[in-house]
Amino acid sequence: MNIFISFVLAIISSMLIDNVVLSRFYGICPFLGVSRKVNSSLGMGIAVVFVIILATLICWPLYNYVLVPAGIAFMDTVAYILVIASIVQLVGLFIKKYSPSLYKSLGIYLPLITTNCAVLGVAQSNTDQGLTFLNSIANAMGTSIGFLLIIVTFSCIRVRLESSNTPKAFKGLPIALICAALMAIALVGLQGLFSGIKL
Amino acid sequence: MKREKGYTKKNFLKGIIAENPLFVSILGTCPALATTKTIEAALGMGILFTIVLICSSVLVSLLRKVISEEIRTPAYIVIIATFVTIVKMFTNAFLPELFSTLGVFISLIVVNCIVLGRAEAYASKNNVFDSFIDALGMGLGYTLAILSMALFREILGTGAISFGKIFYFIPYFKLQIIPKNYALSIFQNPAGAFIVFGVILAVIAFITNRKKEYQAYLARQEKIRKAEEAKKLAAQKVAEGGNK
Amino acid sequence: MDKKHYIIVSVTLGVIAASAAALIGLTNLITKNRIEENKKIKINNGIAEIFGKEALIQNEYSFENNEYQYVNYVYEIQKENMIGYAFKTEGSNMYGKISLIVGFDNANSFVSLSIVEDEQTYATALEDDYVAPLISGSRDLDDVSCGATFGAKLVRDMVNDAKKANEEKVWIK
Repeated sequence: MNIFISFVLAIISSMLIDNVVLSRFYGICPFLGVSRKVNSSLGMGIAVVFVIILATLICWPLYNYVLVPAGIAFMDTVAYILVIASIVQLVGLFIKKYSPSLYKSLGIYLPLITTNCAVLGVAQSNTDQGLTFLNSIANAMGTSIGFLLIIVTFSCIRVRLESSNTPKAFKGLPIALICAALMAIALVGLQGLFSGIKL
Repeated sequence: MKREKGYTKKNFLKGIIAENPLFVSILGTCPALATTKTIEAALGMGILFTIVLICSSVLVSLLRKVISEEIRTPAYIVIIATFVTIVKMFTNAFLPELFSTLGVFISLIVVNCIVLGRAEAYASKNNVFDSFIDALGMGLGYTLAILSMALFREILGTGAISFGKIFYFIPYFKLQIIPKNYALSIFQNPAGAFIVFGVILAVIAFITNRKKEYQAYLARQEKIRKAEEAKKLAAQKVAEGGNK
Repeated sequence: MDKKHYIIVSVTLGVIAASAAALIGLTNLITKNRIEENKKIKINNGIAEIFGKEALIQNEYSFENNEYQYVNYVYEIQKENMIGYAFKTEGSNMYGKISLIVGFDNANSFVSLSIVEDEQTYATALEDDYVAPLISGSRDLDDVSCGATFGAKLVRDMVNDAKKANEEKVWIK
């Protein structure tokens, strides 16, 4: 029961308190580039959830059971990025076969998941910090669901911003960044959320 | 193919001002927001980024005739990841403070859009010297951009510039510009990074808009002047024709 | 014609991969020793922080059979004679690894602790809110609610483990 509680707490804290975009700064490029329409950000977020969880499931055993016993633990970056590139290709083929409409609406954003800092960042920090397998899965789930949450919220706000009366110099990206700053401040208030829980 | 004069200088300067990768093309924003808490960390990140960019651009340009179309992307990724791993190991050995400050963001240079973008867009089509100058310009432009962000964040956030903790061969000095009680510590938080980035982009948009308006004003004046001249010429011709 | 093309492609890829692996292996050989040295320098700096600049490590014992959950090494510290013991502990929670050095003097009372490695996201909150007041004496060890509660709980468990190891002193036969 204890393990289950700490698993759930790990997911929630990765998602809200230590949010992947607003606190750890991992997925900023798609966060600023894709979030103009709600539909495309929803599709991008779901695809990223898939890729991050799959990548963690493959990369953690690869590091701990293949690279470290063979003594080549320093090849982790090269191995991870090749694994991630292949996973993105496979997920693309999968989506193309089973749901061509989703594939068309994702368009160019699917190959862009390879250069998403969040995917490589989560895989690399799992092994850099020496987390156990359960904690890595919790970290991956929290990160990806947090990314989905934040990118959808942000795109809803940004659609409203397009039609409002901002000063000319701030139109477009600068006012969106100020909005992101306000969201980041809001999430800082959740620190110390679990201080009363006895574990 | 004859090169126009001053091509190298234009190639170098375009990476710093006209096509600055951070402020104009908005690429590579993840390290720019995360490592700019102190000026030293930003300087270290910029130097490492420039080294990786130059090495990978030169190597891709050397091999551009040998790498065929299908394996382009995996080959570039392996080359870039190799240089990033080498740079990471040297940093861990000789600058351990920088390694623990930057953390996982050294590995994230692999997926930085600038490195991959320059390799595909420029280095795979031009010769070695041009690719070297282009990479040098882009790297320098990126370093100057994140240094300016770090300057604002550190001075407004802590009130002091401190140097010498990471680069231990320089003696440590700390210059307190604003008294510590008046420093706005929000700029050291993640929210402050977004604010500084947004305001800098707004200032650049303002300057660009003013330039565009000025060009449009000059073009309008030119048109009016030409119309007046043509009218004067036509009036002169009529006067001459009347005199004859 | 097609077969020749495939052969060229795979040979190119193989050569690139092999030379990448060779370069990285070479760099590893060059930098391995330096990285080990840096770790030792960090431990010595931590001990100097706790016991003062002239403290030296006299002997070192390692707990190999996992007798304690967190403690890995114990160092005998002396200036002119024995002044105490320092325990090196390592542990991790869901945010990452923490590694401490906990120092006790000859009267078995807690002197100080120094953080060797802390890669958690809220490392500064942990240091400012919990560790600094703990060292200066204005905070109780069990008072763990602060800006980095999980990290503070881990630090408290590691200090208690070191206290237990100091009381039992199994390495003195």
